[in-house]
Amino acid sequence: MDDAIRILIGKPGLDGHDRGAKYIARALRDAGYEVIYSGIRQTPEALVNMALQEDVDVLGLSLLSGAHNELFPRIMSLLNEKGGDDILVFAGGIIPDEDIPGLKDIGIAEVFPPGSPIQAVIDVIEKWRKDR
Amino acid sequence: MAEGQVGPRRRTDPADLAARVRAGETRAVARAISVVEAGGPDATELMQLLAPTSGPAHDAVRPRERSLVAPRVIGVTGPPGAGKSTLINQLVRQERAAERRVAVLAVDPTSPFSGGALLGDRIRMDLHSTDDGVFIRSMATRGHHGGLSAAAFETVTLLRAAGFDTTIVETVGVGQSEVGILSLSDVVLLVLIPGSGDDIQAIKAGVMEIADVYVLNKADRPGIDALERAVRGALGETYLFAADRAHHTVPTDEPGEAPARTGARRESAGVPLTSPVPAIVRTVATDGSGLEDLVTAVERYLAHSLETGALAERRERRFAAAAEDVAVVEIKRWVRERHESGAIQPSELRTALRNALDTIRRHE
Repeated sequence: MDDAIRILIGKPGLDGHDRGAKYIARALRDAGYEVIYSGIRQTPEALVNMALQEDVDVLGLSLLSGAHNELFPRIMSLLNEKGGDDILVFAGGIIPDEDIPGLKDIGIAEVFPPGSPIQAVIDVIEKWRKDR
Repeated sequence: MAEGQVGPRRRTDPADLAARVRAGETRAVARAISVVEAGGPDATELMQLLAPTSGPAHDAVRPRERSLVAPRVIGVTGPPGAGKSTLINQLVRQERAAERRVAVLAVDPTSPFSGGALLGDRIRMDLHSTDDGVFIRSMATRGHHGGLSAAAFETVTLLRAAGFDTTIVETVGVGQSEVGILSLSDVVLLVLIPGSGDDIQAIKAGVMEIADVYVLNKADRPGIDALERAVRGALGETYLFAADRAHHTVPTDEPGEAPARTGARRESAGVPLTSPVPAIVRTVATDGSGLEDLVTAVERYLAHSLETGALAERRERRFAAAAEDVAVVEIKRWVRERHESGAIQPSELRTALRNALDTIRRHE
């Protein structure tokens, strides 16, 4: 592929439920992307290092533990600090509606609640690709 | 998007990128690998800057020159589930204990259906994910304009330029392209587990021949003795009929490592005994047992192949192989383009190619 987009699906926090993360990883692979899955229970530092070493275009964060308001800002500030501010970041998992605007304010492009169709994720990636 | 560009992101000036790679900056090394994978004009410029007449990349460029054993490239292959990633995790730990900077290049197959790839080896390597002395990168088998071997070769060159002492290349040893990547290594480890006796029969023809160290992993499981017998059996046959492979050497002065029967047969078949049979090491990667033996076997192999000149020969061959890879990819693309504008007869094609090559030779 001339324009292989690389995606890291990251699983920060302490919950071990990664069916969703693995589903997204496989679905995005089937859509033609190169996908790296981080495995469960990653620290923000580890995820940001992975994203930078793998030189990904996109970082998808999956979190079900409720710690998104602590961990996502940490990940975003580490990305900015280490020169990963050009990476598209989206999130999914159990995230209350009222928290979504705050997460978008810190630079998370989109938050996908459970049951979101995979096409919605692809649309966000493709729109971003076109806009760059 | 134009061919040869990197992702939908900002372009980085190759000269600037090269300088930052030399400084060992992680972000720059990561971006440089993407540039090399894309294989465009930026990749050419970058590699010219990173392949100097001195420095760590030197021995990749001038393979005839004798070099120290480090920086070195360790290839690790084996069937899925053999414990390659766990073993590499342990190897990384050993290298870090020796204060060496380590890069891991994990090559995974690209789906022939979607063109996508699931690159999953990060999962078992997360122990090192916050260590600055460890760089882990996944690479898909397809999508390289210059060919996979060339992309892997150039990646190894730039990792050396960035100051990594050891590069570990991991592949699932099944296809021809993976075997091609393994030829980039200074030493190749084949990881096998009990119960994979049938696998040995299946992969013997491709991968058994290029391994230098046989790692019998999960050695705490039943069937380990049968596995060792199967490996020794397969090696006996391979080496009997491989009289021209004298360069392929592993020092085995450990009693019992080289089966007497094999040695006798090889001698009678006229194989020089400067070419001992590959080392066989038992490990349990999950708890680290046998890791010291494995490291010793690798060090001994590298020291021996440096001594005999086999290492220099190998580095020279890999240079040629990467160059051939580029040529094949470019010619195949041209042939595809020709077919799109109407089918071309093979004989017609041969004439066209030979004429084109004559023109190239005249301008050399």
